[in-house]
Amino acid sequence: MNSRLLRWQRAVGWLALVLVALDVYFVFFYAPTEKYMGDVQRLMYYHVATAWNAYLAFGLALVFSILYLWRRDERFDRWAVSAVEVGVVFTTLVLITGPLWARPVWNAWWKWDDPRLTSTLILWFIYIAYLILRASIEGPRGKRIAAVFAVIGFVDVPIVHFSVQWWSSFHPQVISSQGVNMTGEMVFTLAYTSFAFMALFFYLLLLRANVERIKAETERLEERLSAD
Amino acid sequence: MALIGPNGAGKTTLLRIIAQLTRPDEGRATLFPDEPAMRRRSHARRALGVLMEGSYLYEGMTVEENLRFYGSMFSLADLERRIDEGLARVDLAGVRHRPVATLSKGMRRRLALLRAVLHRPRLLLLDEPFDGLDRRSVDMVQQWLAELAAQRCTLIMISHDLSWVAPLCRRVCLLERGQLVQSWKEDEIPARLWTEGYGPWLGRGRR
Amino acid sequence: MKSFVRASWAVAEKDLRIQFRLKSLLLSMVVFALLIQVLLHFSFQANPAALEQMAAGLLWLPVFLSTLLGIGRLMAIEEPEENWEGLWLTPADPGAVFMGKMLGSLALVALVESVSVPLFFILFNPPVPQSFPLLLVTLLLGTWGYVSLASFFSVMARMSRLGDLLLPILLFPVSIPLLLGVVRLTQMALFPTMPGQEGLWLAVLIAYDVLFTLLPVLTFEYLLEV
Repeated sequence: MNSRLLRWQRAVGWLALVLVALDVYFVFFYAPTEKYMGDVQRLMYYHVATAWNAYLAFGLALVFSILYLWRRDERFDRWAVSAVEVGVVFTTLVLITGPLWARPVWNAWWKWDDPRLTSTLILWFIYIAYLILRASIEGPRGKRIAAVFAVIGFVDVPIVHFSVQWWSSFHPQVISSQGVNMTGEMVFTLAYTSFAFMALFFYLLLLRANVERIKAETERLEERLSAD
Repeated sequence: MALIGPNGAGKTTLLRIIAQLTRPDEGRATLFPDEPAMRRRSHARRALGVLMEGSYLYEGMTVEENLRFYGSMFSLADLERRIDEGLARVDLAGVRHRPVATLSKGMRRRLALLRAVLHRPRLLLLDEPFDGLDRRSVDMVQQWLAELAAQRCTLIMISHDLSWVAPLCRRVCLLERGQLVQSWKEDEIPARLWTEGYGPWLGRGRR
Repeated sequence: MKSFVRASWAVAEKDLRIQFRLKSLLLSMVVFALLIQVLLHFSFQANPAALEQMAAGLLWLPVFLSTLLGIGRLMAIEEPEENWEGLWLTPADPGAVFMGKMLGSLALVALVESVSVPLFFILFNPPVPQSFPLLLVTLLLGTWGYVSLASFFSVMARMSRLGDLLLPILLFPVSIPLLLGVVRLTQMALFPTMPGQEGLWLAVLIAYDVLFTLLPVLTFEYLLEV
């Protein structure tokens, strides 16, 4: 199991490196400059790509948490916490690229009436809470309780999204109901960037899961040593 | 049955595993394996009585209120009668309306025991039931446990003082460092055990 | 089903019995709520002109914050003498135990509100509410959802090294939708505003309450489990 995981990790790592490196070309050269916002708009690709992958991360965390509660296999918990951690990193990136993009365009770092940014912030808080919760209760009980929180948190995510949206509406509808407001090249760049970042996401996930596995094995060995 | 052994032998852990309060690292403990109805947790709970380190009593309520509460939680019929009889049996009828916080240690133990058997469990798990009790309370509890045992209730008790459990046991299990070292049935129990303790049998680990 | 209700009721009654003997918790929660109201008044230099914007906050923050502080004490009843274990060992459904704790807490918070809400009207002198029924429904739905999650997360928090400190970290992000709904509806109930959105927000609150009462009831066993 261990060597297989490590092999996957290395393979995906190289793939991610290649894809992300190539992505620089797409984002900065292939995609056209946006009419109104200028080159700053290129941040959008990273912003949206990391946002989607963050949602993927938390979705995976939900699945692993449910599996852990059902089967009590520690491996599921390891995958869950890894997914959440990488998800939080990605969400942090979203929260950083958002204002960086917003400042030149709207002349303000943060706009409270931008629902997507606000719900992303709340999302960030929810999963930070998961990490703190899991870290502050020892043993399998901590993993169990954190898993329950992951389920409740994820169920809350769509509710937060919609309620914040109904509260106010401001986010530029990049992909709106009338169709995509972007050129073909932009769409492709966005799709490609999302895919590249997904590779990056899986690499980080595998990396983190491996760390957890090694930690768990170390603990088990320590226990056995101290018992004798 | 008595579980005996030195500190850290794992007696409490074993009892907690039987009570389904702790998960074992390996293997499983099943209660009443021959009865399929017992797989439902609520059924199994009804058959189980537990008295361990915590008394499961609420200090802010009176003796009677505590018993009534657990009576409701166990959905007991004829609760009044059971409480009346029970209180009389452990000689707590006089303090019926006193808050638990005001009771002495011996009284609390007796009340905790009453609470544990109020629903007439078939299996009673006791961790050091006589600990810290005065002579009178010890006698009362011993008598009551003997009655319960006679009424087809299985008792598993942990005690570090063998003299307390001696009259009640049909089987004794000696544990040491998480393993069963020796087990005696009623007629095999050596007299030496009661007088000299289990010392001579330690160190003979067997899987 | 009947045993579920009976067990919930038994737990709630036990909690309330213990609390009413002591009285100190209820009193502290009420006093705290009032202090928050005074504090808010000064912090935001509230003036009558700004009242329309501030009203919902002035009404709900005292309730939210005093619940935050007080609910830990209610859950703490089960901590001495391993009482959580004792409850786990009864045949009662763990969900019923949760409902009991939740309903007991709800009763206490409702009592706090019965003081803080009238006092809000006295201290801040808002005009007669546009819709009294809407205000009542909002109070009911909002308090229910908030107390349900607060009870659940309080038990989680108390199991951790951080204790009650963890409760706001767990509760606030998850309860944002409730906060939004409650503030909007309160505003609509108190002041003449543009009509039409009440249905939406009431639906949000009802869905929220149902979801976040059902989920805790179903998953409480994972918390009680030892």
